Amino acid sequence: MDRPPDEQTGTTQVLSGAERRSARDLRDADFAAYLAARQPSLLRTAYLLTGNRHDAEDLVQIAFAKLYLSWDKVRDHGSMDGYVRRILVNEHNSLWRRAWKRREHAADDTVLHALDEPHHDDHEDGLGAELWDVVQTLPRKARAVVVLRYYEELSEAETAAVLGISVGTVKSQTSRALAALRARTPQTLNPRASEEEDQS
Amino acid sequence: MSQNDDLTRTLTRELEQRSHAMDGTPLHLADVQGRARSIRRRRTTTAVAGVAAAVALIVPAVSLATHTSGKPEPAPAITQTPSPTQTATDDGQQPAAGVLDVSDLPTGAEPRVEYLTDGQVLHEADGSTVNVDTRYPVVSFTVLSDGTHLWLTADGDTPYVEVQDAEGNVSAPVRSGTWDVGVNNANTVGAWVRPDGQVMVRNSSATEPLEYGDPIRATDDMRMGPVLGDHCGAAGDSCEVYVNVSDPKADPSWRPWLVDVNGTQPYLDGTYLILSDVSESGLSIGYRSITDFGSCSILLGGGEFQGFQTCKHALVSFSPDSRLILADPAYHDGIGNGEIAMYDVGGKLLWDRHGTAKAQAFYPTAEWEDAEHALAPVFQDGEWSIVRFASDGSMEYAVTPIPGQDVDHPFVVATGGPVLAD
Repeated sequence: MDRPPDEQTGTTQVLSGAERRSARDLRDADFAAYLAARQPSLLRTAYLLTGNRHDAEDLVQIAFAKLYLSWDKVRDHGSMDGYVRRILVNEHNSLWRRAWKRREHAADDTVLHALDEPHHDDHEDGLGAELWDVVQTLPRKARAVVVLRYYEELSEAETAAVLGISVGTVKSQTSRALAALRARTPQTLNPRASEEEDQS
Repeated sequence: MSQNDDLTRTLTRELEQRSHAMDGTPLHLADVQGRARSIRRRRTTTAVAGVAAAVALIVPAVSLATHTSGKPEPAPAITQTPSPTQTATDDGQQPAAGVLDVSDLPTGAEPRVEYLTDGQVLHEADGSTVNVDTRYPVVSFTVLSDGTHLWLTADGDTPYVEVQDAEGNVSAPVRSGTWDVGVNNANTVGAWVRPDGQVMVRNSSATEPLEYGDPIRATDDMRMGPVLGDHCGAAGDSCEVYVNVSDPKADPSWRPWLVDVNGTQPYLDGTYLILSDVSESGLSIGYRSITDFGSCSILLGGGEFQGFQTCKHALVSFSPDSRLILADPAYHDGIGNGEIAMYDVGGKLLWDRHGTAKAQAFYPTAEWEDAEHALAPVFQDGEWSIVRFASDGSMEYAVTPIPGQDVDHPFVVATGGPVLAD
């Protein structure tokens, strides 16, 4: 890390070792503060994407690690939240990661099972639980669309930007995901079934 | 209120409630920094493997690929043990045999191949420096014999190739499907792969890169292999470009692909998983097996020449005269390579150095400087240096240590070894 050119001499001064270490410490402190502040929120999104705690933590660690590598550039642009969320979602969708995780799960399903039981109130069992079950069976990109649209409450355009796809694709993915949810949940949330019931 | 509203409202409520299964802040800065090192390492090294088994053994010779011309001969045994460069100072000392400790080495001559500092200052082989005008920071690079530079640059997680011609004009960045660029032994052909699997070649003295062959079956993890032949793309050229491709759904999960005048196809000769290098005399080295617990590399020859196999190291590259082989750990993970070795082509381990609890040195990649020396940026104790490794195992600084961060190495040494001008 060099100092900017001196205005009078036009020369560039090289930072001393102590100055470099000090700058690095400041950078790390800055990043650590961001990590502490944003980690809970990102973990929750990651949990909804992956469906289990272990994968969620792994995914978030990767996302923060990639942010760490690009920290100076991203911080200067003030776009950390969007950047790290984009990494999170796209990392989850990547082919390499899917194959790798399949191998890990095959070896460790028993251990993970206990961690996979989510906490939720008893009164929400039933309708919501069925929705959750269906969400977890959606293809990864469709699940990402559902999480971004209905948990993160992003607009279609924002969702498209995160996933690197067109708004039209977001619309069609959303439509298909909702159709799948309607088809596999109780009649109270299935307009077609309700209509048929009314006619009878 | 529509039933669709009911569905999405219930969905939002359920997602919100489920998300509370995750609480706390289990990740700490050290965890993230450790993972960042692994990611950086994956971008800069050429293979993944597991813990190494340890026995080197001789395997029967297997006829090399049909691409070899002439009869490869075994290289002569090493009769000299060159020392570091003549200009080395008397300061510093060699650590014990087998130990990779670069904390106090003698200082030798500047690198005789180009290297980059801070992602933008190019140190040329004659000692002059010039600023590099690429759009993105340089991750790796190679130099062609006409002075053209192929810069592999990165915009965050996205790799690009930027070509700088001999006059210094830098082309607009084009997406790359790999994190490295390939070059032939004579530095007359450089090659890379687009994300769609199309191999691109740039001939020395050419004005534009060319598409070469049909696209390979692209994946999100492709790594350049050897480039053979003096010129690519013209009638009569015997040009071969190898790309190592990972496909986790396939068995085996790694396979080299060959693009040549006969088309584009998986390369099955030698049963390599990853083809690392091919020498002028037709010897080849690469990974034969990669598991979660180890990897084994092989050298294959032709005729009566016996190859060998080792599971102690990964065989990485031949020296420019094809007599020696540079090797790194069979297990690639963590902060970086903590071990470096040299073999002769007969399979004899000439020397091996590895980090210790006291000297936790590591390096991202090593490159040949000439027939008897390799260069590697090495990190130890908060400092980066470029270390010259001689074929007798001795070490010296080619660039003296400067303070730095372990995940941000300031030095990039040109791949492809010394360049002989046209």
